[in-house]
Amino acid sequence: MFSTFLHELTLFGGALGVALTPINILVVMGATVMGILVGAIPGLTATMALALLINLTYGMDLMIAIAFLLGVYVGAVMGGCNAAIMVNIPGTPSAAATALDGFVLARQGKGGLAIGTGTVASFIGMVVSVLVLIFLSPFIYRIALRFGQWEYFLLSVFGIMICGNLSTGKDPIKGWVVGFLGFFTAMIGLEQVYAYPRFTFGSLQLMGGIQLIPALIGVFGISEVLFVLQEKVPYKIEGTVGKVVPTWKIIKQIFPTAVRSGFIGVGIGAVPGAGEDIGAWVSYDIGRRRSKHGHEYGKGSLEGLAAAETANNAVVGGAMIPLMTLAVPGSPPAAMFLAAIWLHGVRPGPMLPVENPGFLYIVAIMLMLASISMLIFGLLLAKPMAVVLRLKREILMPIIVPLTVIGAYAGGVRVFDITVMFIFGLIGYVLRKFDYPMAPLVLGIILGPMADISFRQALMQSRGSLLPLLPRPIGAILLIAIIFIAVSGIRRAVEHTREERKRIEQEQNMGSGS
Amino acid sequence: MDDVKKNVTADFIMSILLIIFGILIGWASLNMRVYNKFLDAPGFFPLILGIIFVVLGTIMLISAVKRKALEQVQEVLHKDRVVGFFKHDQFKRVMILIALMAVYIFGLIGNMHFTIATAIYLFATFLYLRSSSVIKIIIISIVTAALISAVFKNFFNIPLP
Amino acid sequence: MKKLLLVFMVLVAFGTSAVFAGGAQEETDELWPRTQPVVTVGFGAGGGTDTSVRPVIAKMEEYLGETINVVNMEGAASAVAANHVLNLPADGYNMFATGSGPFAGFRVMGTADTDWGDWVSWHPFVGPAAMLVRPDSHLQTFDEIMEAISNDEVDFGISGFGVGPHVLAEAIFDIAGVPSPNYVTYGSCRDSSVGCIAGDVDVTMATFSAAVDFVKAGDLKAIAVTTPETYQVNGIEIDSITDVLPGSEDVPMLSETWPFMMRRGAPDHIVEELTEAFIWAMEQPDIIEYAESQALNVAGYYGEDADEFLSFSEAGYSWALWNSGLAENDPDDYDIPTTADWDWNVERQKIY
Repeated sequence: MFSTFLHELTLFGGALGVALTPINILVVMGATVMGILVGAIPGLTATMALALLINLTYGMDLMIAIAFLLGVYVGAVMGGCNAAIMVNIPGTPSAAATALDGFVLARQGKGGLAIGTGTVASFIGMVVSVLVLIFLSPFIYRIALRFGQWEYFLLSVFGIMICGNLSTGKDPIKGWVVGFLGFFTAMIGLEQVYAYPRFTFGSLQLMGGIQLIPALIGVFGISEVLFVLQEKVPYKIEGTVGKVVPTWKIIKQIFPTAVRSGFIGVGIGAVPGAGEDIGAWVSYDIGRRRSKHGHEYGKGSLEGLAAAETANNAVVGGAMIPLMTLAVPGSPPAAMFLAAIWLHGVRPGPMLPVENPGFLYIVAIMLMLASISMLIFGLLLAKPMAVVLRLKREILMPIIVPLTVIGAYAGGVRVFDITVMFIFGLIGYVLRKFDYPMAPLVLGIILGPMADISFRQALMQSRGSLLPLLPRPIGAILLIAIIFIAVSGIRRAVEHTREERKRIEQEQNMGSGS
Repeated sequence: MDDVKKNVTADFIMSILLIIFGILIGWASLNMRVYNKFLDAPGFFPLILGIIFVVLGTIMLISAVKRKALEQVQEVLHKDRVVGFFKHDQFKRVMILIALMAVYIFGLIGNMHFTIATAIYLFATFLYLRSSSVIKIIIISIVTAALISAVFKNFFNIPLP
Repeated sequence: MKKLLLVFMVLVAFGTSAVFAGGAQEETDELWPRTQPVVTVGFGAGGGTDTSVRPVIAKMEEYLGETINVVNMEGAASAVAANHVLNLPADGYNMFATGSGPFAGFRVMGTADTDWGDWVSWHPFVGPAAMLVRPDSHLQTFDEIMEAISNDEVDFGISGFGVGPHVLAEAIFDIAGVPSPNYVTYGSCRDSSVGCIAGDVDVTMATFSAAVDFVKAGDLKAIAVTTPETYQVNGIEIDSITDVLPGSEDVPMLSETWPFMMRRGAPDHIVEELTEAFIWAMEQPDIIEYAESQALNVAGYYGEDADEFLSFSEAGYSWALWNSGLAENDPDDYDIPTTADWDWNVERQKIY
């Protein structure tokens, strides 16, 4: 026992020596800044940035490539909160949870503080996740293996239900409708088992399916542009940017929530393929239920902001766990990172400790470095960024349009993707007009393929019967949770109907009385 | 209070659309090819989705009817109101903005250099929005377009549309 | 404040465009004078195709002294990318990369109307597939597995229908005279290997490179690989399929490669120089080392060898897809022979 500990310690020391060279530190810092900027530009996403940078890193030294990619990754996930808060355009569905409170805060003139708090929360999330990555990854890896096809299916339904529930104020039905529309969108194209074309109407472009990134950018970006500019006098971000660095009081207030959200984020990030996007929503939901100030969530609560923002950064570390232990990436950007190190001849997986001892520690240390640099530059850049993003909406919003075009096109170099982006922007606008939330739609597109394929695979495995699947413990817990959400949601919808009915009746009575 | 009525009407229409959509999806998925068993066939999951849409649509429909949707639909969809909606200032603005985007995406991009297309789009949109004085608009459009193209092409080394 | 910002933006713009213009003028007297060539990979970044094409392209860049862009365009088992490249002029600026398996299935699947006759291809690596079980599985030999399959007791993991491991497995079952097992698809070979470790399936057939580290670590046991000879990995000796199954000599030829290709009709000097660079790259020690680390075998097919290989794959894959009821179109409609009838001297006349 003690000798293994000593061995690990030596490895850790070695990793420190390899990772902490001045040049690596410089690269991490530069990359983090770049990531923050990319994340902060509405229309550009972390996945896109990493996909584009793989080409660049191929020629680099392995350590520098790791430093570079992890810096961009961490920076971009955190930088996404800038755009979510100041412009209400989240770069990922996970940042959509951040926007719930963040954008309200920005409208109240507390944008700077919101970004600052978000940065600190992201940092806490990173620290939690890196610690878990170092100490607990073998255990978590065992649990992740328990996740069979059936559990994946339930998890994706759970994600949609919870997101639909949270992103609408009173009427969860609307959230679910949109979420399942997202599922439907994901059905378009060649399906994954038999390569049968579904809902393609013979179009080759549709056979390729609706790609996530263009849909995401359209739904959040274009629809927001239209939504803001539809007013003759668009809203203005009031006041000055104000203070950026949160006070001790605020930090103390968000700290318990942040740590809890950190653990939730890591846990969910560790589930291959599901990570990032469900993480923020689950953590936001639990935060709201557990908090004394739960009713303030969605109305500009720093705690709610922290719950979402901590979790989506904690997922970064969490997603590294299946990546390092199984070479199965936990999120789209993590898949890009895997590709990059793969090309450098590093193969994560069970042989990693033998073939590349200490590599896990190197990644952990680099992540830590990136988080520190993210904290520093995030706070430093918060003010100038908020100033830029406060630009008059009549100027800022049109500029976002070409950025969304590039963002949609760059990932797959398909002109068709630009069309998809545009159409989803219009759909998003119409749905928003009628108070439908956007986040479940995007989450549905992400989770749809997983739900579809894992459900059918589970049935293939059980040879067409549901019964053998029901007693699986993790599955049973998820199933109960889904039923609970569905029942409580429908109850809320019924209440909502009753309330509105009363109001309408009252008005009618008044109308006939006068 | 008008808002609530409009919402009820919207819910009513949406619920009916959802039910129709659900039935269409269900029908389409039943027509999909079955390879081995129906349970792992391509159409199985869409069929479930179709059923979910019908169920959610029905819940919405009941809720809308309880909120007296039937009376309000007539009121909201009265001819004058509908005409009024299409003449509404906001509707016109959004349509023009969408048209500008459509021209940019389908007309300009691909037929000319990305930078020029972007500059034209920005100029036209700014002009429509009266974002600033004309000279400033020209400068901002050109500078932004050039900046965006240069940064992406040089720094990220990505092909522009 | 706004003015300052404006001035700043103008300055930055001029600065960048100056750099931009400066950079653009250097290029003259190159293989691709007009713009940089693009390889469109039909699968995602980090996938099997991507990871076997990129290193080789990078090496070739070294030899040619020019930049070749690699982009990923996913969708429809790479048919979206294939059609994209087919719609571009055959001017030597556009290349396409995919797996030999999906490529061989385009016509019968009805996703793209193209075959080996339309392309000049280069195949860096060939990836044999392996039949894998858990080390503590009750099925420990090839014969035990076949026996259990004929009793319909096996859940069999594959990445998907119509891709390499599935077609290889079908070929094996055909020769062994056992029916198809209960397949469970996983989307990727890595996932189907993990599914086998987790005990969700009894046996898995996967591209060996996707599972080799599990075998090294003792998480999985390889029963047989689709190589012509016995395979050594970390001192573990793995039987060739030809050792355990008599009459399976042709099976290894169905192993997948991940070629990059260019439309026929592209300027000859470009094809020639690319081939030169390719031959050089495949001899470089770091490429060979890379192949070893990924459990890939160096193939290095080009020219007529490459065409012959693709033609045989098309025969194998098309009929396997058709026979398992997955194909849209009958291979007979395209004059595709079965592997038993396949003869290169006949097939080559379709183009040469």
